[in-house]
Amino acid sequence: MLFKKNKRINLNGMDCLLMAFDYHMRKNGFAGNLAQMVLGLPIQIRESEFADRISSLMDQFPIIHAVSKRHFFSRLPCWEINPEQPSAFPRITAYHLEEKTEENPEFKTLRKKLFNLPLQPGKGEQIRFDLVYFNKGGMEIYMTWVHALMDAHGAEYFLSMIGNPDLVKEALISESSRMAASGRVNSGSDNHPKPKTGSADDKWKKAKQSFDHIDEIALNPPVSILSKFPEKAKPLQEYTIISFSQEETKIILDLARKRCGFFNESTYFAASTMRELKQLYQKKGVASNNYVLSLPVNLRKKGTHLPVFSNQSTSLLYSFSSESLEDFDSAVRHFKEQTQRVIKTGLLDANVAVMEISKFLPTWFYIRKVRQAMKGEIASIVMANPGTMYSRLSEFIGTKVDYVRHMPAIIAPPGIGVLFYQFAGRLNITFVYTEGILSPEETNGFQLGIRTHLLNGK
Amino acid sequence: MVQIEQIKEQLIFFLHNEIFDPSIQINADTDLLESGFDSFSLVKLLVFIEKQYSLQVPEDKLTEDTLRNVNRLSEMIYAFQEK
Repeated sequence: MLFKKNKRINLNGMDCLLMAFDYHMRKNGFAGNLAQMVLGLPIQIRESEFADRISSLMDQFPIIHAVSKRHFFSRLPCWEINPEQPSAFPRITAYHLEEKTEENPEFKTLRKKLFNLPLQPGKGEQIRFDLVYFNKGGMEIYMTWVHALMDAHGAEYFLSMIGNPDLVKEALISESSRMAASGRVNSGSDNHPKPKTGSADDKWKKAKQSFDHIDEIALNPPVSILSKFPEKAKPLQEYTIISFSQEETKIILDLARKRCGFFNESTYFAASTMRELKQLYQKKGVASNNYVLSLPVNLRKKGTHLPVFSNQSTSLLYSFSSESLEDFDSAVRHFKEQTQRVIKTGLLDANVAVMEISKFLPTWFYIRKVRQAMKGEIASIVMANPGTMYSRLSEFIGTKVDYVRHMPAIIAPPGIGVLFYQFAGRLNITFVYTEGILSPEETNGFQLGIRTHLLNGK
Repeated sequence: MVQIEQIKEQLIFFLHNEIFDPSIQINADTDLLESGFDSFSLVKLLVFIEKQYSLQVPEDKLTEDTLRNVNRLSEMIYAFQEK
């Protein structure tokens, strides 16, 4: 089996950063830096059948029940695998509910519980499955994982592998060829591809460029939405999902093309989100002259969802003055200018370099560096657009999938996150927030606002 | 002025090395959009065109048609050079 010879697998830079945020969130009482996906099926798959599939994947990819540790001398984080020792993870738990409606309080309570239930990566719990059966028919499969293990694209592929075993071979080939290419098959070293960051000296120069960019943004920091009501925030996260019909999605994508140019839907989403965020601040009476958006960028080469067990992304920070969000065109222009600058000045590479060196920094040091620079805030809001979901997710164990949702935990602060993604020709938005910082009216208003911006292009 | 065949070669080399996974075969007819080309790929491509050919492609010239494959992209770049 692929990983059986390896006792330890190193994390890449982004995995390390996400693990640092996991530590930070746990320290503040949250469940951790977790991510979750849910698959809605019209039929019910037996728990034993599902468990068999997971069991076979555990043999092929024991990383899913590896123990999060640190190397003894270097203190670098790693996953440790002991193939001889039986593992109690991943856990699979079944729940039985009457029906799946927003009005069913039992369902709402369970959803919230599953979203805030911590994992135990230190004991080998990197991933968990919850099967929710509905007496009136159908089921939902919840997959919750430690974000350091994989990103949204990797998770989409992994979930597809459970339902479509023919995909396993491709993932195994991909993982083993990368390991063979690095010549480290038996050493237990880093199994992740290295970003092109040049010599060590070059890496530090690039990392400095990235830190300088953070410092520049920190000159005009965002005001925390928590600043007025710090006592109301609780270490729990909530989410709501907006789902557009296929017709609405087409309207939105056409408008995005008209207003922002071909292939610029992220710009359109960002402008809509930031305009509404400003409205939200104003309604709450929190005055901020600047707003900072954190946007993850997929670093995978295009045309693949592999590698699975790795975070292949980096986060870019965008700064918007209050005036730049006065009208839609201005917000679009500011986003585009900053994106162009990122590519032209090599800031994307610089961020990758930071991730690489961050492996060698103690967790607390990096968190402190970022938070000091941002005067207590990392950003006002997190937004992501992983795009269209992996096509093989449309079928699961021979059944057509009704819907798939992404529910990532949002690093708090900022405590507000908006995730855009498409499945079966429909645009979905998951809105995640820390409990207590928004009232139900504000939550509804924010969602309605984004919806209106998207459907009207202003 | 760079000849159209040379533009094609340069674009294929760039797309193969900087944008797509090695498992994706890129030739002049490969459908880029179907192969996973995304918005950040587009920004990278525009910066490449600007550096390589000293051209700034206006946004309205970037369409589903001009970005369809290397053939169409090369024709667009070549036409801009002539102007």
